[in-house]
Amino acid sequence: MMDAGRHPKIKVLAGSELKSVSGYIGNFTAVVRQKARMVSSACTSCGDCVEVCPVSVPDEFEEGLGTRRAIYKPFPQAIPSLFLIDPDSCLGSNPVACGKCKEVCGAKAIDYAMRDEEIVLSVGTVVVATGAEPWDPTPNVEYGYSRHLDVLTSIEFERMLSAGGPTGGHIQRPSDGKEPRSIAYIQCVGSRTQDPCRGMTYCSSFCCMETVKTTLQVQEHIRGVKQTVYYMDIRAFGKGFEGLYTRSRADGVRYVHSIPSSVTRDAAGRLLCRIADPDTGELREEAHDMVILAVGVKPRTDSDAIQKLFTLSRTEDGFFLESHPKLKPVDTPTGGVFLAGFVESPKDIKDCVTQASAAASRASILMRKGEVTVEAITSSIDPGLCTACGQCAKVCPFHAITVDKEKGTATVVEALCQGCGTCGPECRFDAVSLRHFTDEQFFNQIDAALEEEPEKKVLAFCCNWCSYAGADFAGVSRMQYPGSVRIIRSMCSGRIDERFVLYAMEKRAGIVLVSGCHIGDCHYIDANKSTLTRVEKLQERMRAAGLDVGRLHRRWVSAAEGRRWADTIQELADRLPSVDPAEVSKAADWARDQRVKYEKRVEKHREKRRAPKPAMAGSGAGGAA
Amino acid sequence: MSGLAAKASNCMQCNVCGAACTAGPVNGLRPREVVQRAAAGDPGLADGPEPWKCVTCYACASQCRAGIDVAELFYELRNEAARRGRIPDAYRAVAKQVLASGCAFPVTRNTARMRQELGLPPFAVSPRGVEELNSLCRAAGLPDLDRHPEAPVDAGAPGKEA
Ligand SMILES: Cc1cc2nc3c(=O)[nH]c(=O)nc-3n(C[C@H](O)[C@H](O)[C@H](O)COP(=O)(O)OP(=O)(O)OC[C@H]3O[C@@H](n4cnc5c(N)ncnc54)[C@H](O)[C@@H]3O)c2cc1C
Ligand code: SF4
Ligand code: SF4
Repeated sequence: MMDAGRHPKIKVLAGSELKSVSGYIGNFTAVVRQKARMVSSACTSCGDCVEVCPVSVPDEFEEGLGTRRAIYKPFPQAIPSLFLIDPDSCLGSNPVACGKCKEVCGAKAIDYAMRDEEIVLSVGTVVVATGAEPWDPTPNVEYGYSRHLDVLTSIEFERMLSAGGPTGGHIQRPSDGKEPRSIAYIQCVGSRTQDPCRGMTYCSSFCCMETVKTTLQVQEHIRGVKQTVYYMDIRAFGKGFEGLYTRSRADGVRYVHSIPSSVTRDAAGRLLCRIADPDTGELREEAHDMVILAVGVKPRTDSDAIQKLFTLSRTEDGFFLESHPKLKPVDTPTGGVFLAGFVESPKDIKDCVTQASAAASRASILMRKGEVTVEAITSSIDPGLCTACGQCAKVCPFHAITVDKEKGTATVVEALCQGCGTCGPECRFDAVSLRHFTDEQFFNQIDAALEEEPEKKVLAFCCNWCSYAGADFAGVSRMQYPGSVRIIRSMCSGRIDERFVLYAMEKRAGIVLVSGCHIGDCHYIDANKSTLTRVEKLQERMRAAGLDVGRLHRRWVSAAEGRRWADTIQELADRLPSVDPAEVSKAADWARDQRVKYEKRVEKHREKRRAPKPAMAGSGAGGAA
Repeated sequence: MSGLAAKASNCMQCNVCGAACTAGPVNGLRPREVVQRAAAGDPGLADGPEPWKCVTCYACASQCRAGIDVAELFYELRNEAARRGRIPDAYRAVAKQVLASGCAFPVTRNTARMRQELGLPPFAVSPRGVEELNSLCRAAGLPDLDRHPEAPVDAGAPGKEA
């Protein structure tokens, strides 16, 4: 940390919070709010002020096990190495109230009038490493964290073990200050439970080894101390970890495969862990002087704000989602934004550093190059047709469309556009088109696919990443399914315009299938949510027109689900013989009406736009006005 | 039993149910063992004393890490045992008492006197109510209470370890 603070090319903004971000890869503008320290850089770190400050409040860094003054240094290695004033506990500059630190400061560094500052930064890439929050075990009432002084969290205990900590590295029972003779650890507190009040479903992954490490340290601190670890599984999967676990056991630490159901206090002040014997199942209470709860972590409560700032995706657990679990583990779907550490998933320090190094490398590759190759497949908006209604911008998962109401048009920022094409179907005026996947291409493909015996065909629209890959997988695995299916590929199922489906109906397709990635797996964050609503809406309209909705299906098939693909096609093909030709004709007529209506509306809009055009062209404003 | 096995197979063997169990210290019930046997699809589980040892306090269910309703599992095992006609005598007696009077606890002379002292009217479930209860139980598939199993059912007396 000191090295980073001293590095000429690294600027550390301590006590700062990111307020907003705009722009795109290579061109981000970040607004950061830096909190007023009320101590200027003239501070020499002499500490005279601390001696005179009359205020004493719990020290956050010491997990409340120690106290600090209102003027303080957050922790010894803090950068910059300056003191700061906590405005919430400071009595004030008024000499009647206090002002003592200002009186003694020889460097004249104290300035109560200092205000928060807003810093605007231009940056090319961003690494999000905002971490996670430790689980607060108060709701795990059975362990009495808020009732018994001698029940501590693992973080509190780590502070106690630190030579620079509140007890100078001496282990003492908070209730009486005595050295404990017996210490118990309860694993998985806040992790691996289906009860949301008691914690999270996942394994926090670092706490087993943290306990193993702590037992070894404690063994050195207190001679002959008894240590017991209550666990459900010890997960010692990292390099050298099994060895540490073996050493801990060899050192006499007892590992008991049983999670206590309660921690109570007896008359002598000892803590009783109630367990069922792992072998006989017999119930008993084991007495200890201290109980340490090995707490896990949960996503930060302000994750929503960070997610919105950078347009990130989250996993079911609430951690930020990487672009690809194997091939792009530190990238995010937003170009130029990377992830490192806890924010992506719980892990230990080594894995955090590995990931941080990877993220920094990924970012510096971009920075060195100075330019990025953008997707060839991008969307574009015809300014002559666009009304700046902003519908397309609303569905764009990458916020790649900016709408300028004044100029009366929306534009695609190509560096941000990932080419899903979800915006296209949203435009009522046919102003949006996607390079390499134009409307015309789709209509031509539909024509070709339904050239012969259309009633006997299943016309399937497949997204490139999941469903098309799933069909491919079924193929290479030699899975058998009917040949009556005709596949049309798009990058994302979000590209599938209802007009394509209607056109297929008009061309008498027996059954139409729209297929994409499962919700949450979309290659374009959540573009497939638009697919879902669009298909549902169209089915609703078909129902209202008295048509058979059994001819339009929406199914999610992933790249690994070849079987599912084959089964889906088999199921739909089996329905083909029962499709009534009268029904097909009725739907075709209806679909044609819909198309004609759409075309008339767009044509009228075009006319309207065209009318003032010659005059505008004369004035040099062109079609962009 | 496959439904039971599926639920029970989420068990992580953390043993917190055993530590929470209020029946265990009295009659030696070992919930984790029962969950494990259910997960393995042990067909003999419903025939043993375990299902009847549970006092349905739900302490296990309230703490289970895997979200298994362990107490409900005991109920399902009891239902399974009952379907096989294996109902312990004490339970059989209570069921008969309910079917005869509509009350799980008999109205004794003592309760009658206390009601009188409190100024409450005498209490009895109406014959029609009892009849309705009987037909409901028949419809729900309550087995014949007079058909006794060949081997007596062990319900695990207090103090008796499993
Ligand atoms: C109890 C406990 C014990 C552990 N013991 C060990 C151990 O023994 N060995 C080991 O290898 N690992 C251990 N770990 C894991 C280790 O702590 C983590 O791997 C590591 O701290 C994660 O680093 P990080 O930088 O990703 O996140 P953090 O350490 O959480 O840091 C994130 C930082 O981002 C800041 N931040 C958040 N939001 C914003 C914002 N909007 N603007 C500006 N700043 C922001 C936070 O204030 C914080 O300083 C332990 C974890 C816990 C909870
Ligand atoms: S690492 Fe160990 S203690 Fe932590 S949640 Fe996973 S199994 Fe439990
Ligand atoms: S509490 Fe749940 S997970 Fe733990 S042993 Fe019992 S049944 Fe299994």
